Amino acid sequence: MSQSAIQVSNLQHIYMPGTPEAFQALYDASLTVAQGSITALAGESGAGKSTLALYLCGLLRPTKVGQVRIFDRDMAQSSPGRDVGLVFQYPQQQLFERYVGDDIAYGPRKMGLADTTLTERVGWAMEMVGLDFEAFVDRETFSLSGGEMRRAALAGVLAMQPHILVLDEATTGLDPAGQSLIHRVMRELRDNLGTTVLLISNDMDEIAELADAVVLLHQGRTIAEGAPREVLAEETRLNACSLVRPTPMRILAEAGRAGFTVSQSALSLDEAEEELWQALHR
Amino acid sequence: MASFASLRNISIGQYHPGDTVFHLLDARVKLSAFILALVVIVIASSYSANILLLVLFLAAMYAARLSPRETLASLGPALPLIAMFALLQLLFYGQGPAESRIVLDWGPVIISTAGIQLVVVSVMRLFSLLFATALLTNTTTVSALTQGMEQLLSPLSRIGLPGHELAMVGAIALRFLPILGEQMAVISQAQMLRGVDEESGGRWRIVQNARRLATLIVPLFVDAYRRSGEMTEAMLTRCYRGGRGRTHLYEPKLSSRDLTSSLVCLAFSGIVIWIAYSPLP
Repeated sequence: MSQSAIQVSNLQHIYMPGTPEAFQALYDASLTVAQGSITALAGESGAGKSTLALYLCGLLRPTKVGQVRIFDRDMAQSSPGRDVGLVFQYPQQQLFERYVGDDIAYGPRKMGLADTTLTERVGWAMEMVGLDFEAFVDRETFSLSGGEMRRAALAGVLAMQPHILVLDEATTGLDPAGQSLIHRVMRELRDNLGTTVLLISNDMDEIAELADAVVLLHQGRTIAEGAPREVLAEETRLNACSLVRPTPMRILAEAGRAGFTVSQSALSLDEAEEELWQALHR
Repeated sequence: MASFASLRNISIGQYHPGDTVFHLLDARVKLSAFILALVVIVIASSYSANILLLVLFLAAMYAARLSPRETLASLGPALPLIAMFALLQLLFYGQGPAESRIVLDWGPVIISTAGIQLVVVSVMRLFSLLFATALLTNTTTVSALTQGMEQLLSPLSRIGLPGHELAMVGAIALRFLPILGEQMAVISQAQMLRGVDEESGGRWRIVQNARRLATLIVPLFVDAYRRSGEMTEAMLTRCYRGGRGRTHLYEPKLSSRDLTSSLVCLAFSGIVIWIAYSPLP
């Protein structure tokens, strides 16, 4: 857990510089992601989260201002190659083959896998995301539902078994079952394969439930970095980013306002319940 | 950045907000001037007329605060193709008209002064054309453009031509250029993320690029069809119906500025055509 997988310092990015459409998305973004952790990156829409994700997977290269290091390699010089997998915010942008099986096999095939190893890898990735191999392998990608598309896109990235997985709002718009499936995948990857996960999300409950660390991005600047229990408790700072505290914390805050003496640092509903029980019996 | 991914920076067809004379002109005036410019570009085939055209367009670009370099950069991905056509024209055009001199005669390859002129003038025409398109599309919003086209085409509706629909199709086609560029960049990125190595290519590695393009075109078309379906739905859910049912936020009126600009355009066109037919080279 100690060594860092991702290190970004003082990164700046301007889209279409020198043109009338020039737009600065990142002013001073920094973050450190510990190896084998699930780290959440939160911030209002337009804070620069997706731009930062493009730097992490090497689609953008740091030029003048700022530094990006993946496993201690400077990304200005090298490319992250297969170390980093990115699941796009809009999964339909990521599926470009006609059939689901071909799309998932695309990455591993480029990595040199073939025949049974390739089929096994595709099968493994589909199983991870809960897509039945027989039922989905020959389905056309554009006939999938939104949730299925997202899972197929995730499978296509997982099939390459990246050391770092970046999920750009991967659970937004999914039904609760679909969300918990992706949460399970993230935990399994971290616990069984030692994968480092960067979860870009605005769902505070999701972050409270999953993340080992949280980074807050506001208008292209990192404004907080640390343990979820501390970062998620700072109401004013979260509100500045158009975010709110997670539900358990808000329930306890209500209880506090009603006169109970409770600590407001609970991250899960179970913790909140325990805290309330103790307050009732005090 | 890799070549296909840079397609999202395409500038042609994109509205650049501003408050120059060009931005303030009525869309009908700009459209008419654009059509006039096309006619003049086609008629003018001499060096001198084309140099004058380029100078005029560059001055107009400057006045509209548009960057000629940025406009020409949109041409980037097509450069190898253009270079190939130019070369073929130069080598195999032949002698052409009797008064042209032959510079090199080497088997099937005949380079004549007429051939050289054709290639040079074609490139200059292409530049003029791009500047004219930029001047129209970069200073006019899509809705103003549609409305302008529709009003210009309205006399034809009496003979049964669907003016509004034609204008809409034209405007959507223009509007989709940057979207398609962006989408192509996204697909290219999605493929790069999964192991396609694009960095090693370059603009001039024609065979590799053609092969690479083929893998991009199919998903691009699928996406364009899907997008057009979605757009139809979006228009229908907002009660869109063409023709007379269409209302606008602003109703444009022609001003004296529009009249003056039209006269200036006509005068310049006259001068260029006069030079094109003069004995100047």
